[in-house]
Amino acid sequence: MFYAHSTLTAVDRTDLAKGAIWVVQNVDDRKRAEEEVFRLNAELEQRVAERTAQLAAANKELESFSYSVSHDLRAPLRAIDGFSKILLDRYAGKLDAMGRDYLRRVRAGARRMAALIDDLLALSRVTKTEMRRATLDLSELTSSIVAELKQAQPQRQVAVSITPGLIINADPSLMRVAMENLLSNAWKYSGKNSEARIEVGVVQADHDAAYFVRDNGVGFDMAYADKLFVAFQRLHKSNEFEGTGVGLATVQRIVQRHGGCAWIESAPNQGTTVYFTFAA
Amino acid sequence: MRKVGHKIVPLDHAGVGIVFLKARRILRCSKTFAAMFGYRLDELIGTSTRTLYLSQEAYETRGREAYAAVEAGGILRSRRATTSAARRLSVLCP
Repeated sequence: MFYAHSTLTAVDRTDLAKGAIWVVQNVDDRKRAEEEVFRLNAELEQRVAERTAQLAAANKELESFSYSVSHDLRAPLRAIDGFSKILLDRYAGKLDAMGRDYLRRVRAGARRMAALIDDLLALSRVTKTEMRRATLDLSELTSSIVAELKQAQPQRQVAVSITPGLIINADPSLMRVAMENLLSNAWKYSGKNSEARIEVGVVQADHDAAYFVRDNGVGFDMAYADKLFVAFQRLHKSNEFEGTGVGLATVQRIVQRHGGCAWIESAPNQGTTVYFTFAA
Repeated sequence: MRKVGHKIVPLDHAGVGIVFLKARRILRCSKTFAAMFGYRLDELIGTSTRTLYLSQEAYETRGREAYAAVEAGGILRSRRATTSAARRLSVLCP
């Protein structure tokens, strides 16, 4: 058996009986090569599907493990913090200054760990939550978060500029988490600037609209930019700026879940701009 | 090389089988064509293409298709699997 291409051409188009030329080409090799390519493609697709399913399962397992660990860590932490507080309240008189300082450090450590657990759980929720896209006014969302930040620190003087009418199609609760992270970072890292400014707007990047949150805060050296979207990576010391280092990892996950991407521009003492896009 | 009318056509060339037919009878064919279907050249010259079909019915069906196609545009093209090991061609032949 072999595969062939065949063409029959009449000498006289009106009458086949007058004669014809028949050309036959053996295309067996080509056909077998096509079949082999088809078979390899199918095999590859099957392997990719299997590997994707394995990865998805492993990811899910890891997420629920992370969630359970974070959740279960809270109870002993409450005990450490609670009993340290009781020690300080009831037995402060029996401790010298160094003992009291040690206890205060224990409590500060416990609070910091609680914040890390909260952020870890928030990051886990961002991945697990079902996404529901809707038309969302990003300008309004930004205004309401900025109002909360001002209310929490009324002594701060920050000039905030928000481009009006930034309408996006995104999950409202996830976008609130993302914008809270971005705006609280901008708020925090511009804290040492007496003329702090925060700007929220949009620019055109390639074919997509890139939304941005810009501050004129401390900024950082772009040589370390790859660390920023990884959970628990920080470029500034905790005693300079509080934080757990989960915020930008959370933002990136939210943006990725919307099919977009996030990137940063910054320089030491020249502020930071975080850009993000969405798939339509 | 063989002369066809005023043209000279290289019959045994590049693995393509070429056959000149009249009234479904093989006037000339290339060695490649004969070899494709398991024949020697001299076995095919002068024979009806019926030799290459498994059945009279297949021969007639294919003939009707060929005539219809030639009446419509002069050319019949096909691409299908065929049998050569048993010195038979199932459905390909005009």
